[in-house]
Amino acid sequence: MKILAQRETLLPPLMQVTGVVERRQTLPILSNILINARQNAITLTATDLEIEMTTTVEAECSEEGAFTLPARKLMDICKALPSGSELILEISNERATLRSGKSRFSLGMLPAADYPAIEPTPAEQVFTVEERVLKRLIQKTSFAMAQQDVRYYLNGMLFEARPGMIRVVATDGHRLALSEKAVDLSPDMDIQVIVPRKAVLELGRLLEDEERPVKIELSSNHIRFRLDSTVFLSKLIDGRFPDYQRVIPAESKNELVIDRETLRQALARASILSNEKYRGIRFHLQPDVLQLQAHNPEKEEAEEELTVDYSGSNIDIGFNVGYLLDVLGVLETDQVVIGLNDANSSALITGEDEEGDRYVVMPMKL
Amino acid sequence: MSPVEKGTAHVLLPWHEAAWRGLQEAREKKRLPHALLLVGPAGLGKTHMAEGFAQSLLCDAPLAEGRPCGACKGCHLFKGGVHPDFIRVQPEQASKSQEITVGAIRELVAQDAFTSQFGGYKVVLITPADQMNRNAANSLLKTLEEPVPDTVILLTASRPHRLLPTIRSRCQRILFDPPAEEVALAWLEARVKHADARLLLHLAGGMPLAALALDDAALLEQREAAFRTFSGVLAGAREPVGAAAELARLDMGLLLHWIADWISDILRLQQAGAVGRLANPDHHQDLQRLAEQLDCIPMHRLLERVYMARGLERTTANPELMLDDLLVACREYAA
Repeated sequence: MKILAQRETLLPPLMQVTGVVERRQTLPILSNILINARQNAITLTATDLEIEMTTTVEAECSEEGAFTLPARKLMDICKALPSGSELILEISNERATLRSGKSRFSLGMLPAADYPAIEPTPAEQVFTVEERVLKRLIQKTSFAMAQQDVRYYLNGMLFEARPGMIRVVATDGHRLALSEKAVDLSPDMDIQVIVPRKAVLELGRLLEDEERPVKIELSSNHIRFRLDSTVFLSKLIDGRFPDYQRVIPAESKNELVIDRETLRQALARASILSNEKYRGIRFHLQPDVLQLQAHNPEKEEAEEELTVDYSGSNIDIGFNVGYLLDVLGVLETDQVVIGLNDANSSALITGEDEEGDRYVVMPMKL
Repeated sequence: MSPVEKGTAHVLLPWHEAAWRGLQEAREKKRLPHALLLVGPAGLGKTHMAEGFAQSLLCDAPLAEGRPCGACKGCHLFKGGVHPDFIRVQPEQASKSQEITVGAIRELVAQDAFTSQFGGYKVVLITPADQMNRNAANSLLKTLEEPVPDTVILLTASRPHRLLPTIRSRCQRILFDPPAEEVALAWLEARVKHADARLLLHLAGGMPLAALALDDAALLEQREAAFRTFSGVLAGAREPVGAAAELARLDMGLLLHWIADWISDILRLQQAGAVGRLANPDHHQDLQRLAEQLDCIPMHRLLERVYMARGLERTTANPELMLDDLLVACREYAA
């Protein structure tokens, strides 16, 4: 078999799928990519058994067939070739030969039949979302996902699709991020699945700020995102996500409105002298005045005083400053609203006049 | 233990049939436990059985008695060692301690949280589970206690007392006993090439797979040479330090096993005369001579020393020094 492709068309998709291939691999074949040759296109597939990415590239193929090649080596070779090169891949029995100009590379091949590609299972639910909507949902919440938590159902993001809206939730047990968006979905839509952390992060990288539709297909074991020429597929986490509705405070007795950037900068400064391990920061709240206090075991102290819009009662409450900075980093409005009840209950942070994104941060005892 | 026969289909060992049928019955009734602990002495093919059962669970179209078909995609991927719904955890080859580390178990726990790729069972094989270190075992508890649906965890252990009681109590146990001698011999005779099947079976203490592993001309020659050296030391004809240097070249585990067997046989001959069953029938004459020459109390002490040395195996103890010590002790006890 002979495959003819341009370096410029092959390299970007090749780099994209190779991103899925893990550097450290227990199964040798997983460091390879699966190449399926068809009439005038080839599809590249890479998997780490958790997620799988498939993308189609234009190429001239002399016949149809499938084989696997070492992903990283192939990518490095393509990268190192001069731009504008034409690549000729020749496949015979055991070896693959890549030629370009006067360069010649002979690569080891493994049979396609041994490649654990995910079999397409019939999708049970299908819906479409605009690419930028999906990207935004992920951007707004992915930071709150747990990492290697024993509560394995927290190591991912909850995707919920109901008639009229799509909602994602991430939590690590200390803070929670929720983002929702009104979209047109069929009235019988009722989906609740947990997408693993790695897939969420990879998807966040893959998606662009475009209006193109992304087709989402769901089966009992997998979720599949169909973009233009790329298909991204992930296993799901087999567990029950906690009841997040109970975590979000239904009402806040005291509401504080403050300029987002001012608060962010003050917190960033104060955090320098907070305890490096617990990162605690104290909020001392009086009408129209917010005092921030941080100190560390070396007895160093930071104090900030901010003018705020507040008319509630006096509250003394501690937070992990890292969690607050994460939230302020993803909010976009100029003013943020922090809803508080008392020193022992969680804070609800939202952008002003922005109901779609809600963040809950648990207080800490200082 | 290496797989018995690398062929197209999984071959069920004759002494596994009852256990196999029990498992398949439980599977048909949908009452398969989520964690199975395969317990029994090394050399009975527990891992082989576990692999076969895993393949059977992952096979798309199992044959009669749930035997894997060997032809479907599931079987193909399984044989290639790339089945995405099969996770195998074992000590890393390069690891000196031969322990299963906490990192490996954590990785397993993380992987186990995902849905299965083909929508069927997910199978985890931990072999040998008794080589999990304490941290590894502890991090497995949560998964063993609250299993993810459709996951079957298979553990093998030849020294189950090394497992945490909390692990043992969370698994259903399948006991493996050495097969009857006729059964083992019938199976062995068809496979042994270099020696007498019965002798090998005796040497391996009745464990057929261990016996087959001994069916190696070079290995048997080593054993012969080691016996001459060792009996030479006991008889006072060899100087112990030189002998130790010679023996240190052999596989330590196997050598200590042999030495323990030889001393046990000497003790048997001293206590019961020639009526007992010997582990080394081929050296009957020489052992008999040593039995007459030596006293039984020092032999018991010596055996204890050998067991102690076996306890130090896989530690950082210097094998050559250990042998030196052991053989000097031989010399002292025999004098």
